[in-house]
Amino acid sequence: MSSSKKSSDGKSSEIEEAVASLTMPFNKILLTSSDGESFEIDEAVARKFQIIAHMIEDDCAGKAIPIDNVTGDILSKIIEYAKKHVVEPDEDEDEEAKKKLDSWDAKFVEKLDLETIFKIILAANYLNFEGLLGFASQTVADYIKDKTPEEVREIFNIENDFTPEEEEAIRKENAWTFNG
Amino acid sequence: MAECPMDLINELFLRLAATTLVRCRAVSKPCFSLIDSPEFISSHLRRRLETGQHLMILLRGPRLLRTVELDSPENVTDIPHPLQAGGFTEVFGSFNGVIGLCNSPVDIAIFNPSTRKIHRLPIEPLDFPERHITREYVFYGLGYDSVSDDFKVVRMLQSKLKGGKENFGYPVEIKVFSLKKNSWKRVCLMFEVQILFIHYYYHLLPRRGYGVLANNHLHWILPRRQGIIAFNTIIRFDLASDDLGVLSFPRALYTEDDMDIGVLDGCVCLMCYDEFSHVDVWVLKEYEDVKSWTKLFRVPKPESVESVDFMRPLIYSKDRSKILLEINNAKNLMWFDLESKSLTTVGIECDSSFTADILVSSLVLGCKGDPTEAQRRKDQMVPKSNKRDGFLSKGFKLKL
Repeated sequence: MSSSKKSSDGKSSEIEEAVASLTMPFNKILLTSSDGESFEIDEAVARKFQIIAHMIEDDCAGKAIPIDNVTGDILSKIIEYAKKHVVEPDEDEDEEAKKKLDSWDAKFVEKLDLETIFKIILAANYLNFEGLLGFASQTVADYIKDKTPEEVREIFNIENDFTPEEEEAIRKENAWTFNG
Repeated sequence: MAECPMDLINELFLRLAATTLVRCRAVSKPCFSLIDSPEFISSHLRRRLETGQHLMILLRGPRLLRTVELDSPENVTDIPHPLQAGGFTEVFGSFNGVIGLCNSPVDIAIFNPSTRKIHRLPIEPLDFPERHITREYVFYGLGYDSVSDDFKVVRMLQSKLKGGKENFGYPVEIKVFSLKKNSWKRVCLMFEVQILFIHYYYHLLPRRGYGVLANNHLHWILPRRQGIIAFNTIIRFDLASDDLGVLSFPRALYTEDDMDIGVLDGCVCLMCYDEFSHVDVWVLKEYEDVKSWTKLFRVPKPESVESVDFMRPLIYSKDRSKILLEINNAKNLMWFDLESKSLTTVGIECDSSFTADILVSSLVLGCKGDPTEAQRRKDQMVPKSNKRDGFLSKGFKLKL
């Protein structure tokens, strides 16, 4: 069965959607974001999201699945990643392909701001998309590994709930890592 | 942006190296509690062991410890010896991010280089006067008992003077320290093991006194000596039962000279030297099955060294096609390709006075600094009498 790779991210009216779900070929799934954007994707791609894979297994996946927790812009990014990773190249067998994919991944995440990456992590967690969750989490972890506590607070928007004395005590405890 | 949820922070923190997490304790109270919690410390350790991420090579030099990231050898951190005494501190084991340090049989500590947390062992007096033992005859071992989730240190020494009356032969003392109990306990030997020590006095070459941890046991070789001791023996300390016993190994190796013991991927291995030519490595594939001893591979002597006196396998590469070897000392850390049998040097910044271990990045022992430690270190630096005497006595400190 040939699968067309074009994704439809235009908005559909209710009637069009209903018609589409009746006439869609078997191997296509329609995902709808929380803000009404629709994405038609191959079943193989949809299966990357464990939450949907389980629905398909349990036979309760209709042709159109609402994704209430994720907005269209984030969902489209996730689908873009999922499409690239439908088939994961074996590191031993096809080193070239793995390198190419790693390079694509790096460029993919480079263009995104931190806030978008957070939203992607939350969405990937909700959809249970291991591959992207791991990759995005690792990206953020690598980003913060040399940051000071102040920088980490800023990045995650965490409130400093220590009193100055408490913070000083902690810094003294592990002085070797805070000095210089 | 809304505040980041704690379970997302948890997932991100699980991916960080221990040294970064020490800093993150100062971010906020929830982060502080998370990083100090025993559950997080075990999850973090488990993640490090599963992914092999943030593994380091720990280099022990005469004046400092140095950690080198295995995946990025340009990332180097120097740590002043926490047991600095103007002498030579030894590293006698490394497990789950914790290492064993000793200056003498009464100056021992366990230490986590990532968090810099040190736990000094209470001083346990020796049965024999210090002049009756010398460095060559002390065995140390850093062990972890998975049954009781406890770190243990084993210290074994033999007197070079034959004891009279009851203690006929060369008396031996074995004691084990439990971190959970923070106390030492004497180990009573079964007769079958005691007789190994009575007639024979074992001379250990440098670094051969360090126990090898595998299968919840610590292992040492009691080496043969031409004309005096006919056969090698492998003794093993059961960390769950605190008993000393013997491990069987191929008869062909009973008379190997200078055989060494090590551990690779959790399996005990033996190194047999033909110092100007090659080293053979035998591995015990199934711990309780003596028939599963297998000669696994032969490493040719690298051209860059004159002879191989000491070789230890450290770790497999991620794809398991290569093994990292330390040959003679840390200056010669090399990847041995199992298929092509070729050796590739790892460019590590050190000289031949350094030795190597593998170190896991973990928070084991916790991050709580010891406020008295900084003061103690300061006190050690101040000489006891007037300044001039102090300066002289430091250099002449006699070491066991």
